[in-house]
Amino acid sequence: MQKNSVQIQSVIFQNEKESLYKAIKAIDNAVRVNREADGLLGDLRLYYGDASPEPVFMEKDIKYIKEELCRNISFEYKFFGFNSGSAKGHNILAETCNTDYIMIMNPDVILSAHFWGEIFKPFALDKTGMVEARQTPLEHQKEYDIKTGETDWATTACALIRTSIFKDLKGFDSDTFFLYCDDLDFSWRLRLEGFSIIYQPLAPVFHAKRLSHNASWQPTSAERYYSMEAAVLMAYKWSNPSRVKELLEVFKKGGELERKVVEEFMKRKNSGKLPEPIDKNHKIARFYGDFYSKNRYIL
Amino acid sequence: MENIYTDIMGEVGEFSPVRNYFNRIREILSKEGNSKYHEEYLPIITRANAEKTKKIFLSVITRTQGKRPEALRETLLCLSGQTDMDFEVLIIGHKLASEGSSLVDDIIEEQETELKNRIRFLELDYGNRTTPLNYGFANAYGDYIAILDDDDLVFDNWVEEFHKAAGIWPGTVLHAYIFGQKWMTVETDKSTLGLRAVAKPNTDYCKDFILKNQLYMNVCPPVGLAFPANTFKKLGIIFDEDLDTTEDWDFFMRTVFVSGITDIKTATGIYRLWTNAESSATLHTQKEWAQNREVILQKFEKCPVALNEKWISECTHPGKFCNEQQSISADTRKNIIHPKLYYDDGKGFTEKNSISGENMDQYPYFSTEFQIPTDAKKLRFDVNEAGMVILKHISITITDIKGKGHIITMNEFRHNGHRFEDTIVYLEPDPQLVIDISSLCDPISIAFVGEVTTNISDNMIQYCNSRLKKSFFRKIISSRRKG
Repeated sequence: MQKNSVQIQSVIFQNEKESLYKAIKAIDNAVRVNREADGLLGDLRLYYGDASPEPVFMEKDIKYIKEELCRNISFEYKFFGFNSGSAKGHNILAETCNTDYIMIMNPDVILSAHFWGEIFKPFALDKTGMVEARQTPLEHQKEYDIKTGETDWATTACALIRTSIFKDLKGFDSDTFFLYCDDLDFSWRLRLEGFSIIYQPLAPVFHAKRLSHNASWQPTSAERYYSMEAAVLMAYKWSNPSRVKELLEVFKKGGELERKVVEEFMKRKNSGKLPEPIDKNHKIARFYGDFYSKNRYIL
Repeated sequence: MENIYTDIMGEVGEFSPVRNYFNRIREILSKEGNSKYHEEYLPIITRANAEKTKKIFLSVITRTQGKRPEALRETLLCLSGQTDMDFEVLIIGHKLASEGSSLVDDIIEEQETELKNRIRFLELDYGNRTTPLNYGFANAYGDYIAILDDDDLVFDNWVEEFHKAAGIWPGTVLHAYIFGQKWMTVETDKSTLGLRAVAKPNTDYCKDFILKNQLYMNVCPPVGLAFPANTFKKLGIIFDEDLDTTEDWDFFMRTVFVSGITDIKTATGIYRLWTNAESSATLHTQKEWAQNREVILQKFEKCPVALNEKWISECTHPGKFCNEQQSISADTRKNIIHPKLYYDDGKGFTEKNSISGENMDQYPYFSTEFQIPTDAKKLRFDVNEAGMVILKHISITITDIKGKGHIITMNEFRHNGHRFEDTIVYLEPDPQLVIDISSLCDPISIAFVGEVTTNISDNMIQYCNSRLKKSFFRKIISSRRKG
């Protein structure tokens, strides 16, 4: 049986070491379980790119990780020396990737023990380009086909991609997206090439998110800014000028963050740094209000 | 205890609530009053205390019958993500067949070492669904004990929040906010059922504990609770194994009566409500739920309770607590709509002349129909027992022997609530609508349709209270005039 090699890559930014150690131990354990079951997983390399102002890990920490935590996997660490954002950070890490699959993962995500037994299954179909894990305890709200698992896009909180496709698509569009919608844009480009995205509910991963007691998100101002900026850029790149206009008009009347989004968009426009619009026939891109797929519910 | 009893009891009368309180505590602690604890569980507790080698904050009790392996895996996954790892897990396999036992063993063996070393797997092949709880609690090493069923989900701060609260209010029951969320199983793989969220998390259980509401219905899912171990281990407050539903409510309240409670105003987990899978809601009939509920309410009446300041304040200032704090349990919504018809045959309304009805619709809507007894002159409709509801869009239709329907308007029936615009607000128990049918010719059935809500606004409360004051002063003035 052919084994599949995987590079898991995470961009870290001032993460707490203990939470990273926990995630690393879970990855190593999941590999152990799969090996004991003679599963499909071959070699696994965990690659952290550090976009923090100061390195999260010192030499002794890296030694500890390699010797104490990584019994079944190999570990690499790269301090970028600048704040790359997630899109660029992942592209840097992927440059040296020579494994069959590349897994984009938030650094604090904890894999379930039998993760590898489930995440590969949808790749039995050649047209599957990307498989997304189910987040718990707060599952992502987007819709997916119950029978086939097919979905419109995948979040890269934890998603496995054929490396060949990732490289053919030249990774994430880091020129356009800093922190948000890089995964959405990548998903749609993957689908534009004829590949499908599968959501795998049997591969849960723990993602430490919380809601306020009235069941709403509590984003930071940075998260709010970058998600608004990404929304305008997505609409522009994916040929939805009416949505661009609508968003800019709303943001112009908004607060400081909203107006900053407008300034940045206009700055890029005036300097010719906006992306070339694609999918002008709207074969793939779908905008459902503020969302990019149908949802089972709205959080 | 004996000295207090001797010092104080001599000074208070036979019917003193303090005497009654202490007598009931003594009964709980006595062998005769609590034989199950003394004979079955105290030996286990004693052994567990002797085995314990280190201090542990929280024992997590997870019951499983091995029927939901994916859900059990996910529950353990949530525990592996905790920010505070000062806990142990007791997985109680209840009536597992050998396949089920092997499956649970395999699931435990899969776990990462840090969690695996915290798990003890105990098997139990007797008793009902309540027995594993007692067995787990008796075997627990922790200072606190929580129930995490094999389909509950918890956030990364579940243990951490309990631990913080225990540090500030030690010895109390800890109560965290919990989201309710509808889930379903999906067949994505021929051999395994996947799990899928169906609706957004709701905030039905994100409310503080209100004693008088909790005495009527339970709105605190077990996943949001942690119990001080000593009330079980030393005071003998154990689960009632005669109950096979709402056993958690009964145990929770009897523990709170003695220990008090601390609210944690942070949501730390999700109580999953299965839309297409087996659960306690589907395994038991409404009649069984109702019967168990009656048993529990009668037990509450016999419990020793020491009211603290907050609980007294809930009674003296109901408006301060009912609005923001009142919540609706998805599991017990059926108790908000619990229709009953009383009929007066000339001798007044009595329990003997009453008919319990069924709601043909779903909360918050009600639709119920009763056959009218031939000697009935007046009818009284109670939508539930507890009150604290608003009735809206009420439609009452009486059908006569010829099949003709008579619509009863809001001006044609009396009620013991407060009319507020086109609704009726009931702040007190026994909410009633009374209809005089003596002038109708051969009525044979009566149908009630409408909507209930427990969302009583401040305006409504002020309005109702001002009406009560006016009514009170009118009575005073009237009595003075008569005098």
